[in-house]
Amino acid sequence: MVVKILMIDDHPGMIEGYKAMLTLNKEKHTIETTEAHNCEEAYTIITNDNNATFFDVIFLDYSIPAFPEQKIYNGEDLGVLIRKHMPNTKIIMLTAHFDAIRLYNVVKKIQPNGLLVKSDYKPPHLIEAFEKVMNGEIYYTPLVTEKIKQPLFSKGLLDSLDRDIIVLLAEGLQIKSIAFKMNVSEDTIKKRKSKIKDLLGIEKGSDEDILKECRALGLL
Amino acid sequence: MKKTVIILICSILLFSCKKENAEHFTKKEVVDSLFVVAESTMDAKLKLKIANQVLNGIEKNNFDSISRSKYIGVTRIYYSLNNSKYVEICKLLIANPSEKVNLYEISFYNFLLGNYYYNNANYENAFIAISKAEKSFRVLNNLDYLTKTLTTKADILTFKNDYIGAEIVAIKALKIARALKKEELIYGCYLTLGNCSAGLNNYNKAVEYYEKALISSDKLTLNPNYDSFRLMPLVYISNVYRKQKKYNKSIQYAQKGLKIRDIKKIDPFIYSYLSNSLAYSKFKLGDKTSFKYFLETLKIGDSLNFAPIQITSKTYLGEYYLSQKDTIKANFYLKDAQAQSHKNDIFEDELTILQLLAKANPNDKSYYSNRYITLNDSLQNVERATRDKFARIEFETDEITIEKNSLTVEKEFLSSQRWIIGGIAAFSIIIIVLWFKNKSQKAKTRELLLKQEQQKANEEIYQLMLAQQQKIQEGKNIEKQRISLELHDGVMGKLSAVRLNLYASLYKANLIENESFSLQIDEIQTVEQEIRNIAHDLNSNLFSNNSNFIAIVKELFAKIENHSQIHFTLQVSDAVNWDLISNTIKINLYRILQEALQNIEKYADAKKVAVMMKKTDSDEIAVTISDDGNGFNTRKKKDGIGIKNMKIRIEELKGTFDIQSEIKKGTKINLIIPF
Repeated sequence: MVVKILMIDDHPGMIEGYKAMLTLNKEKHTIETTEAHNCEEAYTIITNDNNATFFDVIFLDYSIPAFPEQKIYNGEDLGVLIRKHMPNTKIIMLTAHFDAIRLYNVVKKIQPNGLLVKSDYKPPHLIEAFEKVMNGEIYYTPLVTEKIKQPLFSKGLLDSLDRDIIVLLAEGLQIKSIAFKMNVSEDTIKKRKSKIKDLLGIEKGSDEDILKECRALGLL
Repeated sequence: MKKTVIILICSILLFSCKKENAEHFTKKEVVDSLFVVAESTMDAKLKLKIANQVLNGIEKNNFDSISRSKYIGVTRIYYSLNNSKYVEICKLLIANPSEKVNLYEISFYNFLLGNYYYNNANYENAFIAISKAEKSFRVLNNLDYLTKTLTTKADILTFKNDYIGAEIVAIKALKIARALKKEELIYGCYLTLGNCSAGLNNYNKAVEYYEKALISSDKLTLNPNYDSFRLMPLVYISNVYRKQKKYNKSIQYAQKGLKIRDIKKIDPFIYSYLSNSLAYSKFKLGDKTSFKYFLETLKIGDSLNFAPIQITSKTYLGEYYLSQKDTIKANFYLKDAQAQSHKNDIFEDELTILQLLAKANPNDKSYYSNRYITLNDSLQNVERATRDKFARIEFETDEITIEKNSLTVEKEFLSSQRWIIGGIAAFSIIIIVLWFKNKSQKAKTRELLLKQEQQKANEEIYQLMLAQQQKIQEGKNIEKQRISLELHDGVMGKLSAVRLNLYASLYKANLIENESFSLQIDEIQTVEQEIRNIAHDLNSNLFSNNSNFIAIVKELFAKIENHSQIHFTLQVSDAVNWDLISNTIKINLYRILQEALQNIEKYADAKKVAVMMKKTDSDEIAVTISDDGNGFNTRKKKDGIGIKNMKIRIEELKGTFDIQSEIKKGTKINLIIPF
């Protein structure tokens, strides 16, 4: 059986690695790959309606060069786009990030068929993940499973807006820039921030205190 | 009524105890009452008696103020009696001036002397004395006596034929007299003015003035000399008409005067004038009996020993006998009159007499005519000379008076000067005091402003340091972020790729079961994880340098460490919330640290320096700076500039400063700063 795969990663070496690994699959699938090295290239392929059912699986890296014109900054955004344009295509997301919020966001928004944290898996796991996904199963590396169990998420206390805010804060952005990036008002951000502080049990403190606490909890 | 009673009592007193009780007249009250009696009585003998008694009562060579007032009273009486004794007293008093310069006394004596000389036809001396009196009365502003003095002066000038000068003086006197509303003085002025006009041959004007004097005299009924006052204008008017040859009118006025009862007794002088005037006018109208009256007046003149009357009477007799062609008798009287008038300097009369003599002696006509002309000429010269002389006298008295006055004036000037100087001094002192106050106030304000400015500058410096620190931090952060990202996305990704590719290659070569390879692949994964953690840490430490103040302090340490062997350790308690501490405190603390470290670097030769900052229980920061250097004896050594600066800064922060040091045992500085 020929499996058509779209590989989205900015490192060609990485794609070579994936390809080399996938040839080792036990089902003896033949691999046909298409490559995209940044969000823009990926965007063009994904939004092409001819491709809607073309790919079986998409290997998606989290950190790739952004395509700000379409407000696509990373693999997460691309994942949302793929789910919209290619609802039947399976997604295996690979990321070097291991913070809870990001992982949780990815799970919540994209519900990828596979989610692997780089440096968290050994090469045979990649093949295992591929085979499981091809069989319609879900494969998450152990760290992911652990992180998304965080009670703040599971009880629905920190919603996606809160999590985005925390991520952007961690990137060092100010309220103004966050509001712009998320396309909401500054007041909303402020309200959200105080809600986040309440949740984290911080009475008084700066953005830094929020981040500190988040790091302590492993959210970041 | 009261007056008469007093007079009565005094008269009794005077006559009852005249011998037994001489010292009675020394008592002031008695003397005063006697003077009142003397003023009001008409009895010349009583007056003279009182004056003599009082004079005897005054102690010899005593010129105190009481004696002086007595002398003045006595002189007044003698003056009213025209008794020459007052001249002696005046001269005596002038020769013994009182300690206090009494300008009034001196003026009064001069006035009396002037009048005395005038009455005795000694016009030059009279003019000197009167001029002096005039000046001093003017200074004293004694208008009453000034008017009297001016009247006398005008009279003197009249007698010296300076009618215009006299008129000017008399008009001045009249103005003052009118202002004073003193009828007696007004009366005197009119008489003098009349004389002046008569002298200038302005007879109508003269009569007008005399008539005014006559009206004025009617208001003086209460004056003891009322009769004389009433009679004088009549004498003058009669004379004026006689000179105009209006004999009937002259007779009319003379008779008016002569009607008064006892006129011969009251004022023999006036009686003689009137009588002469009446008789002469009648004689001119053809009355042959006139010579009897002339003889009578001559007798009175002889008895009074008064030259003017004698001369007039003799002249009239001469003229009478001349008209009777009795040249012997005429010559007898005329030559006698001529000699007397020449002797007494009554030149006007002498001229008339010389004319008559020329008529009486036709043979010697040229002689008398020549004498007449010579006399007339010399008279004019004398007149001119007299005027000059009087002008000179006036000028000299001016100078003398000025000198005399200068004493009192100088005194007044000195005292007023003292007041002015005192005033100016006080004023200056006040000004200076105010100026100094103002200046110190300004200095204080300036100092305060400077302090404020300095504080502001300090804060600005701190803000600048903070800003710089922030920039450095930002730069560091950006770099950290870049490295983190590079590691995370680049290096790590590449390693992953290498690992995957390597695994695939090994798998294909069936070498994957070889443990030495699989271990290496696992090792690469471990490296990846490490890099991942490092990248994460780098990223999450971006904001870890919470306190910029501590960063600035650390930078200070780093700078010193760069060029010295000193090693710093810094301990800061987490309890210190630097955000709550004002920038002023921070900058001052920073400067103190700077100063302390500079001192350590320069003098201590220390290896280790420890700085500790912690919060005390009462909201203070406690800072300790200790070193292991040489130390010094805190007692022996005076504070250097460094320590002084630190102390000043601590004082500004209202904190405490304590320095402990021993030689070879290092130094420890303890600071406590409230915030």
